[in-house]
Amino acid sequence: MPARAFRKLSYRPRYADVAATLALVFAMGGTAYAVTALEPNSVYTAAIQKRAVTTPKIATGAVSNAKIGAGAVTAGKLATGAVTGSKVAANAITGGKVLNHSLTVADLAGSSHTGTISFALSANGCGNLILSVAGARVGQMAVFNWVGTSNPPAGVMIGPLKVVATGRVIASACNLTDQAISASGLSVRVTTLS
Amino acid sequence: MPARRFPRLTGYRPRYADVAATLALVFAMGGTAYAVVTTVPANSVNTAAIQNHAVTTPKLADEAVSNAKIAPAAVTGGKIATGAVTNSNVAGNAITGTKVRNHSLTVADLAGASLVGPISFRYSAHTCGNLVLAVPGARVGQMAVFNWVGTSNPPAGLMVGPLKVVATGRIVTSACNLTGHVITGKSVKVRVTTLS
Repeated sequence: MPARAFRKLSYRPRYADVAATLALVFAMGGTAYAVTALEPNSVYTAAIQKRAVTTPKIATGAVSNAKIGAGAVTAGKLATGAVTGSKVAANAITGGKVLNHSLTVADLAGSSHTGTISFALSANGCGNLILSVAGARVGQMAVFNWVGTSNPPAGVMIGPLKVVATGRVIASACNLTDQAISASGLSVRVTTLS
Repeated sequence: MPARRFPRLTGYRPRYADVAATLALVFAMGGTAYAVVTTVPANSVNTAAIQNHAVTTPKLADEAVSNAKIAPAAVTGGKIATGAVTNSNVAGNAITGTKVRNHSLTVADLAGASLVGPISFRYSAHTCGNLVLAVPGARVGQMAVFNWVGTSNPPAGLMVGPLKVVATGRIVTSACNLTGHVITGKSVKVRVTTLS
């Protein structure tokens, strides 16, 4: 057996053998070099490696609505401040969406003005209390409050307010006591709401 | 003729070159179809080469879909997860009146206090006095509103003046009995609402 094997190894290839071998090698290996461009529609899902499609591979604006899964956009995907007014549908915000005790008068349509008033009311006398309230408009709801830490003037009643002109509010004030009441630089707050 | 050809085919012993050449011919002619493409040259996969819908979710790299890749207005309501829009996502002053559903906001949405509770009082004829109300959460400087609560008429002739938050949780107002007889009330339900 070794003698026969030796004879096989000592075989001298002819030109045709060498040429055929080279042809076979190039024929089999040539494929890798031949693919310079893929046929249209030749890349199917299974051919794509997982996570192979990175950002630069996606065309600008390629992700259309239909490509986004329902509910796929979670909070972390929204940029801070991304939801601007135009993105919010009319009437989309209900009370349940507003954090309790989060809205202030500044969030409401109207005006709120804190200032000082001075007045003199004779015993059992009444008069008009005229208040300048910037931003107040005719027809608005209006609320009058005393402001400060001392007790309010005892016996002084302020009737319902009336916005008689833009920025001008009038109320009837009465001194229900038997002595004159006067005040100067008394802090009050008038709030109007549309 | 068949008698001559048959013995030649059966007696023929193919040489190595014959086999190699034949295989080379086979691969050269049809080999591409069978060959496994292990890699393709960089940037050789163009759009046309990708089948429609071939790029499925697992094929996308994490964070691959950046802002620029999303078409304008592509993110519609149904694409946003429930509760995804948190406070920080909303731009300042984005919520205007038209965005708020009419009649949906309640006092509970407003910053302030609102308390319903009973009060008791006694005012002699033609007299005034302070009405002191304990309202947890009320703060000095807040707007405050007083209302009677219930289905019966309010006490006739009893005037309640403007409220004043004189200290945290403490509101004082002046009340006057304008009638010629004593007015008393016991556990009369009132509501006091303050607003910042």
